[in-house]
Amino acid sequence: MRRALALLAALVLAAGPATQAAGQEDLDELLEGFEDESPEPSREPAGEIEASAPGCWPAWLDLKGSLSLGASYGIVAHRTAALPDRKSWQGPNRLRTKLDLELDADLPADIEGRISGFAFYDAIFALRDRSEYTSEVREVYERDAELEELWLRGSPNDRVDVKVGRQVVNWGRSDTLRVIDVINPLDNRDPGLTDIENLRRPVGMLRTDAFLGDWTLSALLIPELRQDLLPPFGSDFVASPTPLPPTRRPRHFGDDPEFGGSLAGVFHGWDISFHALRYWTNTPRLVAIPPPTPGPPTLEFRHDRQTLVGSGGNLALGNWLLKAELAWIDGVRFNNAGESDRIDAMGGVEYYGFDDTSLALEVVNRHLTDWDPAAKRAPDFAEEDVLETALRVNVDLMNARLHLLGLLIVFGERAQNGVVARAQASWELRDALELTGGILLFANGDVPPSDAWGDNDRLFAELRWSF
Amino acid sequence: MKHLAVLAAALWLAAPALAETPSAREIMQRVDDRDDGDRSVRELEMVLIDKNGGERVRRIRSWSRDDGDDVLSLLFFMEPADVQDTGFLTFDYEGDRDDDQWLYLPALHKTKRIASSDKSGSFMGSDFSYADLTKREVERYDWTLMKDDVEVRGEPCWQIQGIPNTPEEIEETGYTKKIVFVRKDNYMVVRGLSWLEKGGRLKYMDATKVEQIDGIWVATELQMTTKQGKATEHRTVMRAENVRFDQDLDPDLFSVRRLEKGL
Repeated sequence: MRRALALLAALVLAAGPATQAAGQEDLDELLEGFEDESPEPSREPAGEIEASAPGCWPAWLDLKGSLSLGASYGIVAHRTAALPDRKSWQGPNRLRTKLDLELDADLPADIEGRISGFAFYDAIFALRDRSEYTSEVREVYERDAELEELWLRGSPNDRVDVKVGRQVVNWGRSDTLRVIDVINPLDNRDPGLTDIENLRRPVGMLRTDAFLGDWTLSALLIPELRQDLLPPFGSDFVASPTPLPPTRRPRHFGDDPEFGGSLAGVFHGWDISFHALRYWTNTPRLVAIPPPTPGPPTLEFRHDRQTLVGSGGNLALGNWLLKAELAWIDGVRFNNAGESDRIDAMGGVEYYGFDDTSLALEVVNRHLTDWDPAAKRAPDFAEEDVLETALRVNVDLMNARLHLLGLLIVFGERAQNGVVARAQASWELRDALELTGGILLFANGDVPPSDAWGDNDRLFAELRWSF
Repeated sequence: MKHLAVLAAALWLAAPALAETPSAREIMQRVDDRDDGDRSVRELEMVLIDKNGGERVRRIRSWSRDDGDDVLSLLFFMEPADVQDTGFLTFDYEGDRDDDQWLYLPALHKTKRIASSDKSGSFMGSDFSYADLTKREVERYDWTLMKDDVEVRGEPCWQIQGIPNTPEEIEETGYTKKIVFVRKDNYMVVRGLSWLEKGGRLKYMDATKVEQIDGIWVATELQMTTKQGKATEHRTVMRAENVRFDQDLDPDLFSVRRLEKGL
């Protein structure tokens, strides 16, 4: 045994210098990696940043935008009640060219301004038989142009900002579900196809922010009324066999404005905010108006006046971000039951511990405090509690050349109110030119509007050039 | 007794030489203590180069300010157009305190708080990780002086090995070992070879252009190359231009308010 140990020791001692020498050789070889000849990148140095900016605009103006071509393809062969003569919704259903423009201006007296808008044309209506679509669908989807942001911003003193005009105000912490993010309506004409970031419709308001240390106090006065844009009659997202009832416009510009305010504090590792808003709902509800004489009720869509008091916050713990939102909403109305209050609560978590990956899980419960079972009947379809769950995964691969997104939204604790799932991949062809493709899947829910979703699965693609 | 006298004499003779060669830890402490400027403004160009030579360019404008031992920084993307005006605000705290980070996404009209104590992720698709762009604490590594007579581009350097001494440091940076080359005249790290924990890759950092600006030594061109064995997988060239120090940067510049207002 002693001899064996001695032999082993001798071997180790003999091998030591050799191993060291080999290690040094390996290291020297590795360090030669610094000497590899690498061709210089062809771009101009950063000193040319200013010089390479477009010269056709004065320095106080900055124009940017994007031009995109988007297509989608219905996967499932099916029919809808509104268009019984249409053989199927399977096949190409979108070939849209869209231009987005945004012009920023630095004006005298440190005032900044922005004007932005979009225009699109969908060639699918020229390529397919126009009789396959209702006039409402052609009107909404064939072409559109809209003025979006239009605002001026200035600072009367170091502690106050004032911003007037059409703008977006996002109070929410959630990336997918809305609890206190209720100010701007959504352009939801293509459910599930567009991320919420591109959906918000700016509204005209006067916003004043006062900055007091770590706190910001904001006041909003919103005279303009804009509402959600939703799929029209004849869309495969609408089950109704007959044209939809009209929507009653609750007010005109300036009448009975929305108003509210917030107090937000940002601190090391956490932040919190408190909000109050008197507003009109962005999404209308269907109201059945009893006739003066016996007969069927008249139907119309109405926007309700509601009050929201809420709070939101973030807490960062290592690679984890905890998110919460809470809102108490007064003035929730029904056809078949009395008025109720609603408490919406959101809890969420994001995880950033995997390289170039983020995961987000958000759960919202919407609870009616004075729920009457009669509210379950048509056309209210209101449950006492409605659960919504969203799971989002973002992955950047190949030095952020390839971006993957997975999104799953489940409505109802048993998915009884429908499911939307989207998987997409975006590939950066070159600077500012991106190709995106993916699949959008739906599962039907039991009640409108999700009862018309189930067969609307789509493949989609978009080529976007930003400038 | 005679032996002791000989040893004492040898130590006495060696003392000046020992004093001239500081320990690896002392060198790295001097690297950390080096004046790297304060209240700075700079423009950065990052050229992302794939293994086939395909290039993508990111342009950034950044502001930075020391707040005691903490560093506040704000940057905005100027190009490419699809990320223009995206802003990033960081409060990089000394010690074990997690950084505060906020990302402003103009399309979302929202400032998003980011929670990431893990700094091993890529900085905007480049070969630089967030850990590469922030100071690491000297005491988190065991430093060994490997050579004190090497040259990089004709400049005398020390070659020093650093091994993270906690699993947390490996987790946060993604590196299991690194070798750095420190210039003797100005205590700048001009080269670094890092071993990635995942995938067996190596990252080569090379300060290909170093200048003195307002008395501060600055690497105005840095290359970071990711290699698998000898094969280059991806490379990033980061150039700094219009670097200025001691600018009148109000602390309010480093705020969510400013982040949302943009450039």
